[in-house]
Amino acid sequence: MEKPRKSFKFRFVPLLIILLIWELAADLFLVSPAIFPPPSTVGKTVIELLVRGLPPGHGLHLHALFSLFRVFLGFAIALSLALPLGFIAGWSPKINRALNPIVNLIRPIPPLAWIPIAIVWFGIGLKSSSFLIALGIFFPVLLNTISGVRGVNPVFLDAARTLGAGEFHLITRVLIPAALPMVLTGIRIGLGVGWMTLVAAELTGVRSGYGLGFMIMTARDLGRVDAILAGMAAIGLVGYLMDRGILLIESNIHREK
Amino acid sequence: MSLVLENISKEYPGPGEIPTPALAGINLELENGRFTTVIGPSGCGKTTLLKIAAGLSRPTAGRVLLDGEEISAPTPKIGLVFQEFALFPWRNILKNIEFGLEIQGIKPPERRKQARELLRKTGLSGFENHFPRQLSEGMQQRVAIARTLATHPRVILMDEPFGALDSQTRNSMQEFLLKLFRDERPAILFVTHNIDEAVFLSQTVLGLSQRPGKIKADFSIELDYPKERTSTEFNRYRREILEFLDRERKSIADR
Repeated sequence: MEKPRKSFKFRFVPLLIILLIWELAADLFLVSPAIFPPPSTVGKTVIELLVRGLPPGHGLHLHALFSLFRVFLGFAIALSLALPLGFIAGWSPKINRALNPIVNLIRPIPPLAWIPIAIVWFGIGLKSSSFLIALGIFFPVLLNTISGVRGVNPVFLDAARTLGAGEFHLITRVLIPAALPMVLTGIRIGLGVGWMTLVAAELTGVRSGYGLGFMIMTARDLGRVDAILAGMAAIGLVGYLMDRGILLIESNIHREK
Repeated sequence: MSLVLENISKEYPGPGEIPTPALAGINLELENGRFTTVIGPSGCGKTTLLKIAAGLSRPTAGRVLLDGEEISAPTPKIGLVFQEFALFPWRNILKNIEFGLEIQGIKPPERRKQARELLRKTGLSGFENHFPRQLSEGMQQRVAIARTLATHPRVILMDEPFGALDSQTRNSMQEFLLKLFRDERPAILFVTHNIDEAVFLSQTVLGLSQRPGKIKADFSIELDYPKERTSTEFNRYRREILEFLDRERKSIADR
């Protein structure tokens, strides 16, 4: 337990140095505070955004909450499709071969390129953004699940069979736990992609008036550069925390191994 | 209870349309309380033989009979111990051992009790909550044996189970296995390429030929347990088997 704590101390030093340089540059008027406000201003803006909100009454935490809600909705849709499909395709080489061309043709289309068609199909709003996020999460989860299942050491399956396991137990007691670390990595990558997709999707507009991407656009319309940066910082922080959360689950599973 | 391998042959799809033969006409009978070892040059189809005996692989010709009934799928009545242990890395030691009982639907308190008893018997008490990779290889293989024993198989197949162990651990594992054999009296079919191990453990040593594997020699080891590794008789058996393996190797070289 001592080591991680030590690295924790030093991990944020470079970040602090960069913030310090930024702050000094702004204070010495090397850059104009109007287009590049210093971190101290952005920090104050974060508090203002939390308390007063932008537009007033629309607090930063509510923007983040709405964004998170969209991500989790897309996340749920993506997982409920990608996980079963991934396990089936990983288990059956035939299905995997049949799926391959479809997946590999659709996968290179970036989620952002889906925005126009998503708006045509679903309009502006929750359906559209959830669809885009689900797209972003779907492929990493699918591909990692397939390779996770295919990578299960066959000797585990043989061992389970000789101990009396039938198809059902092979899947629930061997295949799923053995593939889980890879699946989690896919989920982690997928969440990252989904989060990035979401903010871009929100830039095109939302109906509820909430969302971090939407807030940034509002700030731009108002010429509030500090609020743009504060929003960007919030997006980064939320994404970082989600990633840490999955990593934590992952390392718990790996510790058991 | 007995396991009979009747005229077993196995071919694998080879390059082109020509199949590669792995085993040719193997006849073998295992009985409770008998320790049989198969020895042979590497690549002679020993693992294939065990997989067929376990029901994991279907023979191209011939039948596997457990008490007169043909086997077409694995059954917990026939246990298999793997060279690479094959412990489930996501389960702790206790849960690894419980696996077969869990599949059978035995309730947690009961299977925990049985698994603990096996841990005690295999000298692993206190390691219940460890995970496989935290244990030495010798201990891991003991866990694998305990996991196999949990379902009370009457036939235990062992595929070079001590091949990965250093020679001292190997010796102590051999003694440990003989103790289990004496207590439980299963039928054991053991595969190895180590002559000393074959003579020390078994009552019968079968010599397998090069691919396609055939039983070419049948050595009856008439020594009482515990066997003395350095005795004259022990060495006589070792020499006999060594000569057989040398002949096999040369016949390949001449071919």
